[in-house]
Formats: sequence, structure tokens, C-alpha cells
Amino acid sequence: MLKRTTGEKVFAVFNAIGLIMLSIVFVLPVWHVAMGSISDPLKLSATSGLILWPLGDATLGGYKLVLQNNSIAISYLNTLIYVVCATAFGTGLSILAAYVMSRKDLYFKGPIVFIVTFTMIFNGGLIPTYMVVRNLGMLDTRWAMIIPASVTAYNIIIMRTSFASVPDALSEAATIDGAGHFRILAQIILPVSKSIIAVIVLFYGIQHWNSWFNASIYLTERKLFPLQLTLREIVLLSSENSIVADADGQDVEIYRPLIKYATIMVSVIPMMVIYPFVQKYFVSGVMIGSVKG
Amino acid sequence: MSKKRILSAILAAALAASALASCNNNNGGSSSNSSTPASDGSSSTASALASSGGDDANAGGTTKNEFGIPIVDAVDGDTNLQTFPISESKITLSLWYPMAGSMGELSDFNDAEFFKWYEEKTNIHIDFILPPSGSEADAFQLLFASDDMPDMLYSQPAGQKYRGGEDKAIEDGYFVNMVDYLDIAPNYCGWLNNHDDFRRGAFSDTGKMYGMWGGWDTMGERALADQGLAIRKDFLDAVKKEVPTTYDEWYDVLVAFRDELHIEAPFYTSKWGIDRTGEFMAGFDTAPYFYQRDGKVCYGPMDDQYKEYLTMLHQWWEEGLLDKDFATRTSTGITADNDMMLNDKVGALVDYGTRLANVYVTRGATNPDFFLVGVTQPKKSGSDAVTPSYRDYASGNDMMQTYCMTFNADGEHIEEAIRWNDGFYAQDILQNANFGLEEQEGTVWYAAEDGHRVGIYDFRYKNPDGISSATVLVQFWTKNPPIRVESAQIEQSQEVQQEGYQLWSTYEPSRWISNRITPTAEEGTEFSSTYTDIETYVQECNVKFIMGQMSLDDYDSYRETLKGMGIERCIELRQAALDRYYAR
Amino acid sequence: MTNSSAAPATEKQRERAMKMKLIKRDWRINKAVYLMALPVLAYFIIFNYIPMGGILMAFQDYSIKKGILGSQWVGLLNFTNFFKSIYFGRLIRNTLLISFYGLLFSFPFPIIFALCLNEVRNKHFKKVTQTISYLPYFISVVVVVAILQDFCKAGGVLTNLAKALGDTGGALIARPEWFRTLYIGSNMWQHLGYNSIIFISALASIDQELYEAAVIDGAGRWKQTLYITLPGISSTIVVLLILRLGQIMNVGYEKTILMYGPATYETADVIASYVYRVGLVDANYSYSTAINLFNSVINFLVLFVSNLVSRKLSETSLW
Repeated sequence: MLKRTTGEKVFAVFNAIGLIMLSIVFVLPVWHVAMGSISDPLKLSATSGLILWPLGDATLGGYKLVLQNNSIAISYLNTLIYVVCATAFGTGLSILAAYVMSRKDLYFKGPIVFIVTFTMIFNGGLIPTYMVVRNLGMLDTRWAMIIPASVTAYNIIIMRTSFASVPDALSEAATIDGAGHFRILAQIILPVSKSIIAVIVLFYGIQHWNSWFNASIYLTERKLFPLQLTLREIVLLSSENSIVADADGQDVEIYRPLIKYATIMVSVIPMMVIYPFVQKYFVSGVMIGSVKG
Repeated sequence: MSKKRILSAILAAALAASALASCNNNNGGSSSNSSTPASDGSSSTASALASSGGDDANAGGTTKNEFGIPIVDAVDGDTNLQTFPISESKITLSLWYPMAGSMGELSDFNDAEFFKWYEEKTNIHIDFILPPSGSEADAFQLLFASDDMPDMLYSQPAGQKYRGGEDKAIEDGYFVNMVDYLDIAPNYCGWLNNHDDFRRGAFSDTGKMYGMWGGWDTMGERALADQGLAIRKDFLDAVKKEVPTTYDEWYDVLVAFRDELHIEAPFYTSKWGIDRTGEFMAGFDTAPYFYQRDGKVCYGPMDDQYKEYLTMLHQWWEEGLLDKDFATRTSTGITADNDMMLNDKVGALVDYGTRLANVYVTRGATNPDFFLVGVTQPKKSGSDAVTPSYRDYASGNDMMQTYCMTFNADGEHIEEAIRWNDGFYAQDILQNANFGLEEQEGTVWYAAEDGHRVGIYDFRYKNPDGISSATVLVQFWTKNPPIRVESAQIEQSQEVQQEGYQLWSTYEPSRWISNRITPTAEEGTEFSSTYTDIETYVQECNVKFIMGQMSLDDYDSYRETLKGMGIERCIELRQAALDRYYAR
Repeated sequence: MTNSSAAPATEKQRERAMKMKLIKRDWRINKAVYLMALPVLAYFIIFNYIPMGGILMAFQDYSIKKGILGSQWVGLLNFTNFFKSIYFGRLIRNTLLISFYGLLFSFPFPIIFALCLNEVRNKHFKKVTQTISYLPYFISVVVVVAILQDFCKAGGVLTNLAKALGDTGGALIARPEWFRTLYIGSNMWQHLGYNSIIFISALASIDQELYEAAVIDGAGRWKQTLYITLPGISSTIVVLLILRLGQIMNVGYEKTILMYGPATYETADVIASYVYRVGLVDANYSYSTAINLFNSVINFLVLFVSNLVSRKLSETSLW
């Protein structure tokens, strides 16, 4: 490599320090919860500061309590189903839409683009959307978590921007070779757009992983609940209705902070394990995409 | 027990006679006619058609009293008049049951002992629909937009309201008018006939009945207050003070807590700043929301006394006598944070009786001295009488529980659903629901000297199989059955807890407004659209006044703002409804 | 499409014939494209356009039982009620401020982060930092709010930190003056790394030959950043910025309703959370829809204007 000037060296040092500190900020809250989740319950309920190491003797008692609760296991499975199916569905439709919108010679492109983008600004609101979902018979089915809200104009537009940047010459050459649009999409556009597809898959995946509100209105069957809804019941709520239950269930009360931390960890750990691999593929996808583009 | 029943039967007869007399004298009063289903909203004609006497017989052959309620041969469910099984062939009914927050480790209420037994007895399987806890109100609203209204809804009408009110829900055809089905609910009628206020609360002004209301087994005898003011006795001992009775004494005690014991929250108040039931402000002769003085509706925050109370709290806040993070508490209720309680950071608070017990200690917590006792409401001076105005926002009425079972008017099995629920009003079944099944005597409950059942404390709190107390409550007992047995609440608790219940339950019901007043559809719509904003605003301002973000010098302009938002109209609307309530 | 009403009939006919020819040709070439568009359009029509019919509720006193056709029409009553409501000013202010501060802080940081990361030469360090920066994004909003509440309760980590820095007011989560900071701060914590992905990927796609040429010309890293890197990702920045601007009146309610409480309504309550409360909790569908519609109209105007400006200035636009 080339020699760096002094200024550049100083910048590099500060840059590195800054990034390290930023990394600590990213990790610290999770670390706190992780350490809290294996702490002694009594000590835990008596502390409120930052937990850097387990308080008292480390225990897996919280995890035992949480894993005994089968509603977490069921909702976990549900969330996996919802994330995979909804992401696949959403990404598929988005690819089609982005391809359509990236065509330059389409007579009705204007109206199509308009129909898609307009949804970013106007929506019918909660109740009318609920009515449509109801009329489609999706209430209280897994479909309600998979189909509605699985395609967003935002993601389509990002994808379109990327598709449009693929040199026209490539698809023109393919057209001369007699390729149809489906073949152009599959054999020319998609291979060079892996990185953007990875990004969109991630966008959708996270959106569905996070979602709890739609579930709270579309689902009443508890065995269909996604993880986030169950989490919300456990870690965030002491609802009006459960006040008496709170007052009654004293014996689990002192375990509550522990259960809370352990529940959070149970929902976070698999993600922590998976995501570095996902992003590894993803980052390399970006590189491949950029070299080819 | 049986002596009590005979007595109450005689009393009921006497009451019925006197009510009959007054009814004859007062033809303008609104009572209802059971033989004409009140399917339209015309309230004036309904009262004009009111039946003339107690021995009016209808087509079904049942004798009805002047309120249109069948006269039955049972008092408070002492004889079960329902026939079982309820259905010849097994049927399934869906029940909307907002109890998800209290399931413990139970995954389906069908696994609960009582419901297993009751399914066998009735031949009806229940499909429990449990809305996500925390979203009950949303879920309730969405039922009206969805196509599948369950057969039955066990809702809390105070928080889960149909827009426009209960009458409107019947008029719009969602729920049956229970009046039309009283014939097949004899056990329920036995309670209605025996308790004037219960009956009054069950009807609407137009003579409709929203559903089958929950109640207490001690209706008419006394009201159970399961929550109230409590203070740390061990702290009091430490600072060598007596239980405070006046606000001045309270101040001294709290100061001592602060200075000598360095308690973080000498007085713990709810996140609204004002305790929900207005226990602590009762001595100021005001209330947190609407209340009445001799039939005249008042709104607490409009009172000068309310301002005085806020002034006091603000001063206490400034001096560090209040929980300094009260506004941050995530619970909307009144139970204190656990880490606050367990770490001796709370001196006094308004809380549930169950907290009073020293279970924290027996659960192995840190402080063996921990001792919380119930105390009566403070007064301004020693000689004042205190009249709490607002007993319980959730139940609002000493007779009724918060729950009401409503029935889908388009349901396939309306009669079976009603009869299924009617069973809960018979003693033999309600005892099972409250304490555990007959054959579980000795393990889950025991019989006290006079024969009534008592839940076994150790079974619940030190379960031999290690089942958590919350789970025991739903697996062997039933959470909030339609008729709740008060002694179930009290006797299984510890002595100190019982003491608290006794102290708090000294209410005169002359100040609070029954939550069973029913606005008309128009009133309801107008009230809710006006009051929703006011309520939020008041809650917000309470906190600000206390924390000094708003100056109490501005209280008058604050009241003007409330007027501008329409509080006076709201008071008028409440007043109209209250007047009609007493005319029932 | 074209509307030349003044033109003589024959010309019109000719025009129409031309148009038909074009459309036929288009259909021949792009049949497959329209086939692809079909499911997408169907999706948007079903889940976005049909519900838009519900907007009519805004002009009614809607009752579910009577339906849209049977409910009483009330004209603009719901709107005037909203404009007169004492919450009107506050909701607009809160929504705009949260959006504006959000844009101000959380938009540039991912770009800066991406640029900083781009300057790191050690591949492993770069990779690890990048990986760590994504971590918070994989934590759900529910959990983030739970952790936030834990940190900002009385005696919580952040509350103590604020206290050490001279703050005297107690738990941060309950204080209106802190709400925006916490809302935006936690958003940034959660999204910084993730939002930078799109820029990192844009950075990676800049032609490396440009840098090599710049080095030959003697340009340092700074100049390279200024003249190659930034222009290279500027179109990405502009598109994202327009999209964000279009959302300026759109502060989602999901996080807000998990985070706020009466103590913080003053700064926390935004149009969306109010719409949710009025609509779902109080079941006042008409009023709620009216507010939502008002909000959408404003959004549309904002997006329209920002797109117009962008087209004028940088020739990058959404349509």
C-alpha cells in the first residue's frame, strides 16, 4: 500500500478508538442482560446498576423457569414460520415489482410506479385493513402473519434502484439471444443483484421478527402467537387485568427480574448465534456484487 | 349459614313487598317488562308498559315479580334449579376470557380441575379465547369488527366498553337482552330477587340487561375492600411512632422515615400521582374522579379540596416524602414495584390486601422484620369523620364484581350458554369454583366449623408439588368466577391481612357512584368523546402539579381548561344517568 | 393521458390510433413484464387500495353495524373537532419534532459510520466492528424497550449516568423532557449499524479504478473521500433522504405505545399513537380515520415537495 501522511495516521488511530467505543456501546446493554440472567435472584432484585458480572453465584435457574414455559417454545416456532414464509413471499413479490419498475421501455410504467409508491403515503388505516384481512378469512390463521404487511413499497424502490443500475447492454444482449423477461430476470439481473436481495431479505426478516402489533389484533388463538407478543406479555406488561394476579403470585415475584432477563436472553441468543453467519454471507455478497457491477 | 339464608329470605320478602308498594305509588318510575323483549330503544314506552304486579304470569307459566324477574324457589343459589346435563349431545361453546395474565403455567383452562369437572357435568366443552394480556381492550373492540363473535364474553364492562354503551350493544344486535332469558336462569334470578342493589345494577335504565353480572356471596351484608392504605409497622416501631391517623401525624411519620431511616419512598403513590381509589385523599372530602353528595354528582379535580390535597402532595414531593419516581412506574395499577418493596424502599402505600401478609418473608426474602399493616384513612383533624367517596374504580359498586357474562345474539346455542353460566350461581357449583371440587376436601380445602369451605393456605402458597400459587389459583380454584366467595379472599389469608380487610371495609356507600349507572346511547357517545380527553389531561396534570411542572397558582386556569374541555357537560350527563339509576 | 380537448377530432383519432399502436407494440414486447406486475398490483390493490375506501369513514359517524353505506354522514365534523382539540397543536409538534430530530441525528450517522469503517484498513477489525454494529438490530423492539425501561428506571444505568452528570430529576423514562432523547437515542443504537449497510454496499460498489486514478493524481484520502466516495454514494443518499422526508409526519406507534405513559404524553404522544388510542382503545373509528387521513395528506405534500426539489437540484427523483 501507499505511505500514509501523519494526519491520516492520527485519524486512523482516533477512528479505531472511536469505533471500539462504539462497539462497546452496542454490546453493553446485551451484556448487562446476559449477566443479569444468570445472577442470584435476590441480589438481582436488589440491584439497579450496570451488571458486568453475575451477582452472587451464577445460576441457570431463570432459564429453567423460562424453558419450562411452553408458550415461549410454541411462539418461537411460530415466529420462525412467520419470518421464513413472509420473507420469502415478500421478497419474491418485491423482485417482480422491482424488475417491472426498472424496465425503461414500459408503456404503463408510470401508473404502475405510482400505484406502488402511493402506498407509502396513503393507507386506509387500521380498521379497514383489519376488515380486508377478515373478509379474506385470514383472521386467526397463520396467513394473517404471512401475507398482509409483507410487501413494502420502500423495499421495492430500493431494489428497483439497484436493478436499474444493471447495464442495459446485458439485458439487450440477452434479448437478442432470444431470452424472455423471466430469463433476463433470473439469469442476468438476479445473479448480479445478490447483495441487494440479501439486504431486502434481511429487511423483511427483521421486520417480521420484530412484529407484534398485527399479531395482537389479527390473532386470538394463543398457539399462533409469535414470540414478540409472548415476550411483551412477560417482560413489558403488568396490565390492569393482571394486577390481582400480580398480588397473588407472590412466590414468583422475586424471580420476576430474573425471569425477565432470562426471557430476553432466550429470545436474543439464537439471533446472536445466527446473525454473524448471515451477515458473513451477506457482506461477501456485497463484495461479489460490487466486483461484478 | 342456613340461619343466615332464612333470615335473608325473610328480608327479601319484606323488601319485595315494600318495593311493590312503592312501585304502585310511582308509576312514572322505570321498571321493565319481561314479556316484551325490549328490542327497540324506546325507554319511555317500556316504562309505560311496566307490569302491574308481582303475580303476573307470563306465557311460560313462571310467576314474575314487579321487576319482571321470575320468582324462584331458591335464595342465593341454595338450591340448584338448573337441570344437568345442559346439552344431551356434547356441544362446544366459545368463551372470550381475558385471563391470559393469570394463567400461571396453565396452557389451557380446560386443564383446570373445575372446568374439567364442569364440562362433564354440563356436557358442554368450552373453547377458551384468551386475548393477549395488555391488549384486552383492543381485542374486545375488534370482536365487533370480526365475524366471529364468541358465544359468550366474560368481559369487564368498565374497561371493555362497546362504543355507545351497553344498551346500544344490545340494540345493534350483538348481545342478547338477558331479560328475555331470565326464565332459563333461575339460579341467577335467585340472587337478583334477593339483593336490591344487585338487581338495580343488573338492569339498564331502559330495562335491558346486558348480561349476567358477577357478584359477591356477601352481597347486602357488607362490602369487601380488598385494597387500602398500608404502612410498614416495623418502620413505625423503628422511629417510635404510633400508626398515624391525621395528615399531620402522617407528615411527621413520613419525615421520620425519610430522616431516620432514609427511606427512598416514604409514601409510594401510583403513577397517576393520586391513588386510584382515592383512599388517601378521602380525608380531604374529595375524590379522584366523579362522586356524589346526596345524589348530586361532583368531579373531584374541580373541588377546592382537591387542590388542597395536591398542594399537600406537592409539598411532600418537594420534601422528598413521595416516591420520587412515582410517575415512572410501569404498572397502571397500584401495586408497588417489587424491588422497591423487597429492598425496604417503601414506607407506606395503597395496595392490595394480599401484600399485607408477610409472605415476602416466608418466600425467603431479605428482611425478617418486614411487617406491613393496613390502616384506616387519615383525617384532617382527629374528630373528622372520613367518608371515602370512591371505593373501587373497577367495581365501583359494593354489590357487583367487575365481570359480566354477555351472550352473542347470533349464537347457535344461546340457551345452553346461558344455562351453562347460570350454574355458577348455584351454591354447590360456585363452592367448587371458588375452593376446589367436592372430593378435594382435605387437600385443596377444608370445612370450617360452621361448614363453609376454606381454601388451604399451604396448598396454595407452599404447594407440595411445587406448583406456583398463581397456577394453583387457576388450576384448582377458579379465577374470578361469576359469584365470588368473599371468605375465600379473607380466610385463606393471614391474620394480619384479615385485619386490613376489616379496617378497610368500613365504607359508607353514600359517596361513590355505582359504575352501573347507564348512560343512553347519545349520552354515552357524547360522554366518552368528551371525557376521554379530559381524563388523560387530568392524569397528566395531577402528576405535573405534584412534581411542580405546573404551578398550583394556575389551578383556576386549569379548572377553566377543564370547563373548556366540557367537564360541566360530563357532570350533567353523569347526573342524568345517576338520577335514572336511583329511579330503577 | 394527453388531454388536448381543443384539437380537432381527426387529429384526436390519429393520436388515438398512434397510441393503440404503441400499446400493442408494448404488449407484444412486455407481455411477460405485465404478467409479473399482476401479482404485485393485486397485492397492493387488496391490502392497500381496498382499505383506502375506509377513508370515507372520516366523513361519517361510522358504526360497524351499519357499515360505510349505512352510517350517517357528518361532513368535516371529525376534522374540525380535531383542529379544535387541545391536543392538535401538541400532536403536530411532537410528531414533527421527533421526526426532525430523528432525521437530524439518525440520518447522517450511518453515513459517517460507513465512511469511518471504509477508512479502516485492517480487514478483521473492520469486519468485527461491522458485525458488532448489526447486533442491536437483531434485537426486537419489544426487547429494546424492555432494556430501555430497565436502564432508565430509578437507579437504572442511564438514570445514574445522568445523575452523575448533574441531572436531578429521577427516572429518565418518565420525564417528558427526556422522551425524545431516549426514543431517538435507542433508535440510533438499534439501527445505526443496520442503516449503514446500504451505504457500505454503495461504497463497495464504487469503481476502484477511480481511486487508483486519484492516487496517481496525488489525491490524499480526504480528497478521495470528497471527490470520489461522497459523489459515488450521493444518489443513494438522496433517494433515502427523500424517502425519509416523506415519512416526516409518520412516527410509528408501535414503539411509542410500548414506551410512553401519561407522564410523558406531553412529548411522546404523536399522531399515530393518538390515532391508535382513539381508534382501537376507544373504538372511535371515524375520528381516528379522520386524523389519519389528515396525517397522510400532509405526508403526501411533504413527499411531493421534497421530490420536486430533489429533481430540480440533483436530477434524482422517485418518479
